[in-house]
Amino acid sequence: MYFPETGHTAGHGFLVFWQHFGGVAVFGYPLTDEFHGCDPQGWCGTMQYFQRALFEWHPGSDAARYDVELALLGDQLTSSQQADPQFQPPGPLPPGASCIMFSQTPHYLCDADGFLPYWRQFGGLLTFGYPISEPFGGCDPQGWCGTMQWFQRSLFEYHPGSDPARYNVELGLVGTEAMATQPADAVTPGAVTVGAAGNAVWAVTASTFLSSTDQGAQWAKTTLPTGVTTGPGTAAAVSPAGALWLLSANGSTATFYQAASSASARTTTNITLTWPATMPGSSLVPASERVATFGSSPAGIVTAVVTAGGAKTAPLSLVLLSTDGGKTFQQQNPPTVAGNWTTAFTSASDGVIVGDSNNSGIQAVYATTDGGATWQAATLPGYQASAMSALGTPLVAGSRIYVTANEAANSGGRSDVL
Amino acid sequence: MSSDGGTTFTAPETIAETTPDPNPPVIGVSGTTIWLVPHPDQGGTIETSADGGATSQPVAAPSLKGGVIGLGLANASDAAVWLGQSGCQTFKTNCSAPSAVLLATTDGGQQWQPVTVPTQN
Repeated sequence: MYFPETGHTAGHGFLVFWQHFGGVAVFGYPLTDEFHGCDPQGWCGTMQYFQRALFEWHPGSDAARYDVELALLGDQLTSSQQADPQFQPPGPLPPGASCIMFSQTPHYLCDADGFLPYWRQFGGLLTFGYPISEPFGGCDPQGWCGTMQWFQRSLFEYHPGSDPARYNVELGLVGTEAMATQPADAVTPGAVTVGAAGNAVWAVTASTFLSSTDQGAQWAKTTLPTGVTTGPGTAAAVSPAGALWLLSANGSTATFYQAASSASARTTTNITLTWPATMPGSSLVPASERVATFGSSPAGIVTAVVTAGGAKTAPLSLVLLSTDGGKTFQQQNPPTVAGNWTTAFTSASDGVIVGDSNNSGIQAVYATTDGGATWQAATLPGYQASAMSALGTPLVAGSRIYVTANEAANSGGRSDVL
Repeated sequence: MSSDGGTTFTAPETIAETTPDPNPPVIGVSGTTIWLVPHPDQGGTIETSADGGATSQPVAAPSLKGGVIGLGLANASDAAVWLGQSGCQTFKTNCSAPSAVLLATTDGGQQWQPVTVPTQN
């Protein structure tokens, strides 16, 4: 599901967990897409930041909660405040106070300010963790000041009159704060795109195309011509014979670069992208995001999907098809422009496109027999499409097309090849 | 699998039947040989088939790390994978570029060794 509020997508187990265990009030909107990284406690795996939480996928940990655990962002964000009075073990309760003492931390959780009933009703230990402070008067990073209490995974704030049905409790934006306080990540300045197919492997850096046709034993370097820009999402491929293909794109132009080998002359072709006048649900922000993906195809057939979007724009995709080895391209629209697609063709006329039509999060396969002019939903016997299922990039081998699938991902499903 | 350009597909061949990753398996094909990384976020094992997926067998690959993005299969024993796992060891907004790692095997997928990609200069 695409969230226009933040321009990010949540899917599969993370989305279902978000829907079942609190939604925007408890977790906020996604701040990132799903990615592979490491949390401050040293655990590494699939994760996703939301405004009020960091989701982590721990396979096999708890199927009833879709194997999703929440990072201890409260612990992380308060690690330098442990000497402050509110984090010290509390003294005796005042007469008449209705509280629970959690000996694990140890701190009280009380009815006053609605914190205890909110904790009980909207998530409890697994969602919020134990209290790690006493209630205190303070200000959050967004400038709101009032009564608050830290938990291992959350920050409770008492906003009088805001929402009595939720005990007038709102949750601090600990996900937003955790992202902001992370040290700048030094993404290794090296390969921005790496791929492998058969004996060919390749890597594309900011200005160089490194290629090998013997699985990396020997490499050739090609300096990219002026005007060919690379970055995340740039697509590249190397044929078994050593031909180089590279495609970069923005919202208005796709630039296709090809050379018979790393030492031969190269050509650059600019392809003007034409988007429908009316975009579904939003308007395109040119050049704000670019993703270009090559599909697998036999010799002479070059297919690519160019996807663009912006901070407030769901992904939009176009299909480019060449039947003359990349000399010329014809633009075709996928079944719906809105969506993320990948493609593969077995001939100039026959091929498939795989993706989530209309950014619905439910993936499907569509087939064409007229070079992409029209598409029909393909029959996938035995495959149950749902938000919990996922299809992989289609792969051509001879006259065959393979599509991998996870069915009911994150809930004890299975992996298939279709 | 489709043999008519994608109009129809055969019934799925179940390669692995354990809790899958959020991401679909990564596949490589050479002739009728299929290699599959059923858990690309975890690594650790591959499934191989020599008959187009009709039958398959697991191969323990402890040196195959998680974060598998792509798989290239040259023949029945040689393959390369690329991993995107090391790009965001600590999170940063707009950290979308993986610092890719390339691994190769020459023994049917049991042992995977890093391949040194030459630097730019």
